[in-house]
Amino acid sequence: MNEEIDEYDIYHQDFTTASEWEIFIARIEEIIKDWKLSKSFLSKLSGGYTKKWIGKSEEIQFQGNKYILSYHTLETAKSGESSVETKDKSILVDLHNGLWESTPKFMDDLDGSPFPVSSWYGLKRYLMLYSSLPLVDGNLIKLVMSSANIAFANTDCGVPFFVKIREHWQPTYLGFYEDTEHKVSFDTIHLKRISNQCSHLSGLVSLFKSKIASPVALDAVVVSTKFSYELKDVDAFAWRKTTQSNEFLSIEGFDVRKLLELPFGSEKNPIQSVLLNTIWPKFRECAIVESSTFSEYDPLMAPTWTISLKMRESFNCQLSETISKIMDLLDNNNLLMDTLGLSKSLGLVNPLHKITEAPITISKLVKAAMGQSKHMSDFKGPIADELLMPLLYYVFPDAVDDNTFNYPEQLEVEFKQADGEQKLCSYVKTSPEGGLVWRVSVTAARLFDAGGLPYLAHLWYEFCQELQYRWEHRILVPGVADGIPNARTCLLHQKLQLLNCCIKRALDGTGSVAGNSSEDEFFDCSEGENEEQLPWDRPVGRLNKFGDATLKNGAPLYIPRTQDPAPKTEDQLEEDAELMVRLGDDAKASELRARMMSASLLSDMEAFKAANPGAELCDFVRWYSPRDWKPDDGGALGDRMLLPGNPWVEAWSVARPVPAARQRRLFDETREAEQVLHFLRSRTVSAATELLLPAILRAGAAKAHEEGVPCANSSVGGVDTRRTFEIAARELYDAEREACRSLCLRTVLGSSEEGKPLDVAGRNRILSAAGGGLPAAARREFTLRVRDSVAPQVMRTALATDMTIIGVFTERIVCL
Amino acid sequence: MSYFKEKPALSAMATNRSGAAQRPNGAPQTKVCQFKLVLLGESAVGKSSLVLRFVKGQFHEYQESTIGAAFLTQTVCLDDTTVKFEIWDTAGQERYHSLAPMYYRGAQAAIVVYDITNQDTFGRAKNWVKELQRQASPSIVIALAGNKSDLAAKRMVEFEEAQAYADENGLLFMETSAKTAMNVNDIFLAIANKLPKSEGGGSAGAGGARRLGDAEQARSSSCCK
Repeated sequence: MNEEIDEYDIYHQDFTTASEWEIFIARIEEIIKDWKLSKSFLSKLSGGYTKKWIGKSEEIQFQGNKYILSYHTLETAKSGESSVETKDKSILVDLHNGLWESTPKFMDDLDGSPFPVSSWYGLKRYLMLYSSLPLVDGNLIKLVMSSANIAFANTDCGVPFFVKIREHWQPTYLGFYEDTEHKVSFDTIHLKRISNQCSHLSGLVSLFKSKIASPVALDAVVVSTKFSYELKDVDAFAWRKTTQSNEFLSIEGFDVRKLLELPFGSEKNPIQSVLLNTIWPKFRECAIVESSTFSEYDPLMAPTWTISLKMRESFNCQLSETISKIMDLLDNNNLLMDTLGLSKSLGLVNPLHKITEAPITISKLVKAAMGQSKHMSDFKGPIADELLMPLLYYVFPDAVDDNTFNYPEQLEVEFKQADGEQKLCSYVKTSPEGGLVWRVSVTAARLFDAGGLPYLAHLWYEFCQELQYRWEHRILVPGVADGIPNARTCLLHQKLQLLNCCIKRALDGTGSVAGNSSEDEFFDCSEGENEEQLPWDRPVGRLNKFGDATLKNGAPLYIPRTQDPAPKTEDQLEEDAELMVRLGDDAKASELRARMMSASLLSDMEAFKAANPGAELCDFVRWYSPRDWKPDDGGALGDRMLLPGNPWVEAWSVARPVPAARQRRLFDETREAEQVLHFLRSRTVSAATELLLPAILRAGAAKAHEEGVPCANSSVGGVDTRRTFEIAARELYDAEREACRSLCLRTVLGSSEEGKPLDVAGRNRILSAAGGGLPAAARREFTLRVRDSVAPQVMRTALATDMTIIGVFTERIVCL
Repeated sequence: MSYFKEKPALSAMATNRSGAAQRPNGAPQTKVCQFKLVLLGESAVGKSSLVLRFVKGQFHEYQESTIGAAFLTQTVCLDDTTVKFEIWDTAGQERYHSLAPMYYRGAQAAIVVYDITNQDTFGRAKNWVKELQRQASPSIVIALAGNKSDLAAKRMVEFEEAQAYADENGLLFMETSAKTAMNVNDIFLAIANKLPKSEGGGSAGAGGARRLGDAEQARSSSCCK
């Protein structure tokens, strides 16, 4: 390693004898040697190639300009046969074979390599010298070319060497390859206008022949031609319109079903143009005559037609449009009820304006909520009743005797996915598919699309009113999964689950008055205190015996009836977490934290004391936390329960013997229900949107799958809700675009494939869509080739608004 | 109480919560990901001790029994990502079982802890794993921790048995010791590595990403050839 560095240094210091030009050449040689591209090395390579291009590059400074020399090659296939030593001629043979095999292809059939030369000339490997400043000056081009020539010769390079010349945007490359007997030159001409001589086949054929050094036999040139037509009147291609208009808004013929689905697909034809290629794959030069005044080319008779589609730069996808508009609402921090001018009468205050206004208490809110039900009844929202009522019956189908829109009996939150197939947006929290949250969210999205924010606000208002009514009349909310709030579902669904918990609890409460066991009845402890205290020694609130276990005093140990802990929604848990973090780390904080979490423990201790008069803490622990109980000496506390000041001891010391039935309720359904209702009513536009978006996105994904979009396997994690929404919206957008595109392909191509020859039916359909005839060709391309005594000679010409001619000519090196 | 005397031992690998997120330019150098993690397991297996060791680098021979649930956060730095764990440390008593779904359903990761000196706690851990597989998010990352590995002399659960069970169920598995700190950081890091981490987050990238039209041109031109 050190030696190499020394050599390098000396080399560069020795500039008295080396000009900058010589250094430039030497540097190219050095790199070619480094990359082992000499003929002797390369001839050992054999075997197949993959279709993948790999490459490497080095920088070279010359005359204050940066050059990049790069080497590009097809990856060799792993299963290549053992290398056979052959003469260096095989490299040239290989080059010529590749060239000849590539001639049926056209210049715009690219092969994925960084420069087009490989597809033009059928190369498997090439060197490219690319100047960062365009090489425009003729003298400079000559200088660089001869540098390359010298370096090529000195290293006995086995790879065609190209130099990018002219402006960067021009497809112009000069290249060469040499061995001891032959010289191959790769030339390019690019003109902004089409010269007269080159505008037709016969002119091109004579140009081609003049370029070939050796004589060419008569009619020996083989020609391929491709004429390309841009068909712009694409509406002629039967484009299936999938527009969902807002016609459901008209009262007559209103159909709520039109609201059930999100729109999908493009409103307008997303195809910008259809590119038709008419191809004559192979004919002798005299078979078709074309001169400046006369042409025998008839595209309708061309043996092969292929189609490729060009899509509009931007076309509106209806689903994405709908979602994108809703996502814009995430920036709107006004109260949603402000939209209807109802915030004041509902007693709502924007949390952002809270600082300036008096704080609100829950009781105030409850009063406001109670009070408004009367004078709100004459509130008239922007949505007409004729539209509103069917919508509400759709969301709350149990309110009518009609079974059309009933929710399914079993509402399952979609849990396991089959075969690891991931649906789109599966990382967005869901709610039961087709449940109430879906219905109200999709309806909200459609209404917002149709009537803007006031429509959305009106629906939300009516939704909250209905929930209020259901709470007051103890009617369960339909279309919501059973049980306590499930944090795997979206927050709106959790809130409704919590509301249903409250309604159930309230129903149980009133039921007990009618004659159930009075022990199920709960009182607030403030009410209980005025009553006569129960004697300490009379056990109350026993559930059953705890096996054969006894208290320390020998009496049997009874498990008490207990209160269920309060269910919480994820935002409530987050509040708890925030509070715990905010409390900090000191002793007082941990005491507060313990007290925060110990409501349930204290309640259980009190119930235990009531059921087991004379019990000690170790008796309680024996039932409650057996691993903290030791059987020694009739029962003793485990070590960690003996820590001084530990919250279990403290809770035990303040616990009074009160049966669960007489305790303060851990779960105050009235308070919780009012909180849910207030939560929903007082959302800002942005927060309400956050509640609705999960179901909208998931419904959108379901719609996309219905339209044939395949599953995706994206996992999203570690980002907040907003970002998750954005990722999901993006995913749907991509899916929708792709779906539009493949729909277009199917419409235009039928059973044929893009880029593959059309069948007769396909040709007829295209032709009739194009109006029976074709416009002027947008691009014409000719490939001329001949195999003379030396090698294949090839010239390609592309004529559009500009003209590109490329040629590869091989001559024998004649030494006189 | 005076048990916060020791200095956190994690400072080398874990930054403080406010450390990584706020840079002078406002833009974080690495992406920041937040994950909810829940600890489950029989009582007195050392859930709180593991968390205390991980978050504060401390250990107490007698850790008081958790009431309800405790919440702590800790941030770890991976190569290109800062992972913030929001940790719910639940109480192990059977009485609190019904509250556990509240914590694990919203979690992206769970550590199920047992005590290697007690076979029953291992059985309980298996039940937790079963419940998680049935009820938690399908993408949840579950780690099994055989704690109290410093008490190997009293071992009742063989390492191989637990490893085989973990392999069968696709769980991360380590034997840990909150007392000696063995494998404590490692198990959290292993989880951090396994969690899917998306680009973005925060409101900084929000505006840009929402404009769907941005990347549209590049996309449409490339797909129409």
